[in-house]
Formats: sequence, C-alpha cells, structure tokens
Amino acid sequence: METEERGSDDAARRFTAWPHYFAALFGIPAPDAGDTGTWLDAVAKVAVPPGSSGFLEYVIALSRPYFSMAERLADAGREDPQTDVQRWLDNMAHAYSAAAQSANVQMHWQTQQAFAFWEYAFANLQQSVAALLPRHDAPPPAASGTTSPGMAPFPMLPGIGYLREMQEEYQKLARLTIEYVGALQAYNAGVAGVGLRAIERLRAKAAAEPQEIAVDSLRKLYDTWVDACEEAYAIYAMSDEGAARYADLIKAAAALRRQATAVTERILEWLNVPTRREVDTLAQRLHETRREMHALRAEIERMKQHSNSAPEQRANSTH
Amino acid sequence: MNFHIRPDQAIKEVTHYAHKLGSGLHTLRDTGEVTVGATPKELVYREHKLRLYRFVPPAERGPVLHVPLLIVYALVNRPYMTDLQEDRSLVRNLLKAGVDVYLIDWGYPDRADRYLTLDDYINGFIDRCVDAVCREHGEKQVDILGICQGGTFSLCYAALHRQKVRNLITMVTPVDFQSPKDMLSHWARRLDVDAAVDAFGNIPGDLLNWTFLMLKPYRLMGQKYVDLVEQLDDVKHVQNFLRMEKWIFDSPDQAGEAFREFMKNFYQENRLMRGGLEIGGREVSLRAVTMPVLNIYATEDHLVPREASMALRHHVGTSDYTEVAFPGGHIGIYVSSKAQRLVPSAIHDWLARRDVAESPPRPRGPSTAPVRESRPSKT
Repeated sequence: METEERGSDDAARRFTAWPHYFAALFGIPAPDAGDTGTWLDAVAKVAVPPGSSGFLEYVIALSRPYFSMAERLADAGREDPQTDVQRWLDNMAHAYSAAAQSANVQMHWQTQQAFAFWEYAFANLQQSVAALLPRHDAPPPAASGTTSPGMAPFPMLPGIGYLREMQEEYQKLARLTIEYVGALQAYNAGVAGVGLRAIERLRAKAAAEPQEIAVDSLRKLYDTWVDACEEAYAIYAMSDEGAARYADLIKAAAALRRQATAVTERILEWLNVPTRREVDTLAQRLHETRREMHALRAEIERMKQHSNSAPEQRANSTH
Repeated sequence: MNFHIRPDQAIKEVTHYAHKLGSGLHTLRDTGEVTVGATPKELVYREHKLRLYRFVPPAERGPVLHVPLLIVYALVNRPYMTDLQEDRSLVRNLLKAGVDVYLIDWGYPDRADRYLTLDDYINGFIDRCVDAVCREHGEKQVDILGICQGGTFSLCYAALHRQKVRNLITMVTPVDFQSPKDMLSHWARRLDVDAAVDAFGNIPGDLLNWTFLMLKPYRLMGQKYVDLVEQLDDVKHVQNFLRMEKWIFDSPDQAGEAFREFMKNFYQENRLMRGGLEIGGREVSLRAVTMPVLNIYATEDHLVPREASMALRHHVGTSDYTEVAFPGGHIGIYVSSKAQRLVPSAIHDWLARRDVAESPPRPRGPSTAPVRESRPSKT
C-alpha cells in the first residue's frame, strides 16, 4: 500500500514534469509552468524537411485538445481517479463556459481559413481604393474579426454631392462587412455551445452506463469525449438553428463578395481594364457557340450514318 | 461508466505520445514525396480540361470481358482515388480481373468554365466519352461505373441514353437527397444557392472542404491526427496518410451553373426521386434506367447515408437490380484492405454474368489509336 502511494506521488511529480521531458526530447527550451501552448509552438518549429514542417505544425495544433486534456486532468488533483475525472469534467465545463475551448478554437480557425480566400482580395481592394481615389469617407472595416465601434454609424449616413453614388456603394460594402462579421460570430458561437453540451452528455453517460464499462486510460477518455462532442454536435448541426447559421454565414459571405466585386469593377472600368462581368459575358457567348457547334456535329454525324445505311433501311425510316 | 485513470498510467500515455511525436520528426525526414496514381494509363480523348484515359492492363489477368467499363467520378475531389497506390487501387484490381477500364478526369474548372451546365457535363462530356470508348472497342455500348456524384450523373445519363449503356454500376451514389440522416442535405436545403453562385462564380473547393470537415469536426480535425501520432514512426503509414490528405484536400472549384443546378434540382427539390428533373430540356426519369443495375453503398457513409443510396431500388426501371452493402465508410470503400478484397470482385463477378459480345472480339493490347480531340486546339 505504501509502495503504491509513493508510486502515485512520484507519478504526480512526473505529471507536472512531462513538458520538460518533451523539451529535452525535442531539444527545445522547457516551457513555463502551465504554458504548453508556447511549448507546442516551439515543437512545431523544430527543423524538419521543407513541406513537412507545415504538416507537423498541423498535427501538433490538432493534438492540443489531447494535451489540454492531460493538463486539466493533472490540475484536477490526484486524490482519487474517479474524483479527478469528475473534476476534469468540471474544469472542461468551466473552460467552455469561459469560451476557452481548445478544440473549438481549431474549428474557428478552420472556418476563418475557409473564408480567407477572398478576405485577402478584400484587403487588397481596400488598399487599392485608398491609393487610387480621393475619399471623403472612412474605409470600410476589415473583414477578419471584430468590427470597429466607430464604424457603426458610417453605413447609415446619407450620401450627398458629386460622389454620392460611390459613397452609397461603399456604405453598402461596410454594411455587408458588418453583417458578415456578425454571421461569422453567430456561427462560431453556435459551435462553441456544443462543447458545453458535450460535457453534459459525458456526465449523463457516466451516470447512465453500467460501471463495468471502464474508462481507464487517457486515450479512452479522449475518445469518449470525442464521441460525446460528435453526438452533441450532430444534434446541433441537424437542428434548424444549426442549418440557419450555416446558411446565414454563406449568404453573408456571398453578399459581401458580390458587393466587393461591384466596387472593384467600378474602379476597373474607370481604368479601362476588362471586368469580371465583361469576361463572363464573353464566356457565356463562347459556351453557347460551343453547344451549337457540338449539336451541329452530332447532326452531321446522324446525317452521315443515315446516308450510309442501306436503302431499304432509309426507306423504312421514312415511313 | 467507471472513470479510473491512474496518474502514472496517464503519464505513461503522454510520454508515449511524446515519443511518437519525436519519431515523427525523423519519419517526416524519410517520407519523401508522396505520389498518387499507380497504374499506367494512356490518353484516348480530350476536350478542353477533360481527359479520358484508358488504363493499361497487366500482362497476366483473368478472361477479358467484352464490354469496357467507363468510370464516371464526381466533380468534387479527384478521380485518382480509384487508383491511389499499388495496393489500394480499384482500377488495378478490376484490370487484373479482366475488365478494360476507362476513366474520365474532369480536370480543374476555372472561371472560364463557370457557365458549364449539367447538360454540358451529362449530355456533352459523358456522351462524347462514351462514344470515344465505343469507337476504341468497336462496341455500341459501354458499362458505366458512376461514383458518388458521378453515380448520380451516370443515372441521369443512363436514363437519357439507355441505348448506349449495357450495365450500370453506382457506388456510394445519392439518389434520395433528403434522407433523414443526411446532414449535408439538411444544410444544403437552407442554402441561398443563387446568392452563392452569383457572388463566387465558381464555388471554391476550399469552401466545400470546410463544409465536409464540419460534418464531423471533432473526428476530422482532431481525433484523426491524434490517431496518426500513434503511427508516426511508420514511414509507410505516414505516406499512406499523406496520400489520403492530399486527396481529401485536392478539391477542384465547382463550375458555377452546374453547381446551381445540382444543388437546386437534387438537394433542394429532390427531383431525381420525386420527378420533374430536366437536363438539356429532356425529362430524366429513373424508370427509364432499364439496363441491369448494381448499386454499391457503404453502411457507415457520413456523406451519402445508405438510405440515400438504397432509395434507388424503389425508383429504378430495371428488373435486374442488385445491391451490395459494403461495411465501411465513404472513403474506406476505395482504400481499406477490406474494400480491395470485396469491391472489385463484386463488380467483376456481377459484370461477368452479364457480359455478352455484340461485335466480334478484338485484340486487347494497349491502344495504338491516336488521341482524339473535340477540336484542334490542345487546351
């Protein structure tokens, strides 16, 4: 018994020491206490061949919830494994409530990446506009995060004077940017709520399922937690609310993109550069011509076959 | 449920995880470039970005079937999934069994392709590829294997051009686009498709990737990579993983007008099942699919739920209808070792029972015919 307790104390000491162990393994500086985020970043920067470093960074980033789970378990105490896990659940619930969701941060990042493809173009557009045109109004807010409080009145101001039309275009762009950021935040908030519900599911499972089902390893705990998250997420994603937030996000991004294109085209026309609208018109005409050409070819082929067929067949086919 | 995680056990696990991550650094150094596509192939027809390939059969293989098989893949993701690597290749296993295999590679549509419609894809591209395969083989008909969205296209094609399709195989193919467990459908039905296509032109592959990841975010963005760490010291495993990653994220943009039609007609209005679907001004009815049909679905498919595929049995016009349930998921059906054993043999055996020559047999060596093009230019 005494040996077991000593072993447990020893294990507890090692629990807090494992980041230092990793640091030695990877040849990087040891992290400060409780600062595994910085440490994981350092691991990700360890020299690996070009092309693989991004991959390793990605794997490490996506392993964060697993590490975070181990850390929280260590923080929960070491009195009794069953109590520790209950405390861990409390910790996780607290973390989700405080919007410090380790897994969801990754999802938010993915969502941000999904829409980044046009945000870069949008940022460039803003710079181009600022460089090209004399402006009496403030530029629209950046689309990448939060809205500036000072921007809120801008879209509501009435347009006046010589640049009235253009001012309205920019006002619309600013309005749509704010709407997009709102939709993105609403979407992320919806997904963030899943984490908390997953913890509740895990608690309910723990109470409802027979004691013979043992979660006796960190990995089993992680897998059980992932299952609970996916179950909670599926309920949310299949709800009207989940579908509506997804649709709202896509719609807001599309509306912003469309308006950004319209503003860009105005500048391009001014510079006598072909616009997307003009190129689209040409592409549409070309497609119509191709379709007609293929139809004519098919018709010629049919006529050839008809003329090559036996006279009696031709006679039959005319009756 | 009994939680009982001893601290020393947890430390062992975390230490083990760290060791594996550490070996990953070395493994990644040794991994080398990841390649895809294992079987030699030759180009037999091209039209703009589309390529039609014929796979070169091995010297030794089973008795050759008379009718060639044309694989029609989805527009989403790339068709090299059917021939990912030597030991994970549906194509290679079919060739070995005695099937002549052709494959349509749609290429990567760019913004000049924005106005391609479903009519262009189904009555245009697929039809001209079928003609090209028929010319190559001196047959009047082909067998078609349609995969995922390519299966839906193949059903439409078979309904509209049934005289050209001898046998039809659909694999993980959605037919009922509004089955109750279909998360993708649940989202798609709310989508303002017009707003998206009008704004984006072509629908970005990144947007589709993100949508697919969000179907199972905790597994696909977390657990999958924690699983990988367990195998990070195995170069072959890492190479296989990277190959799959390449395929998963190699998503072409979707031609805008075709996407608009597909989302509205199929996902939002479910017209393939309910009726009222028109492509190129002609009505598409599953009742017109009167040739033999083999429908292969995956029991654990999260992208195309099995109910979505199995709906075909109630609507198809043929009396020769067979179903095969593959115990796995949407991706496992191509690459799992179980799939290598079960799927090609199921396809081959089913085809072999229905293989009757129309024309005298011709030599089956590699094709020597010049590449046919729809137009002189090679773009």
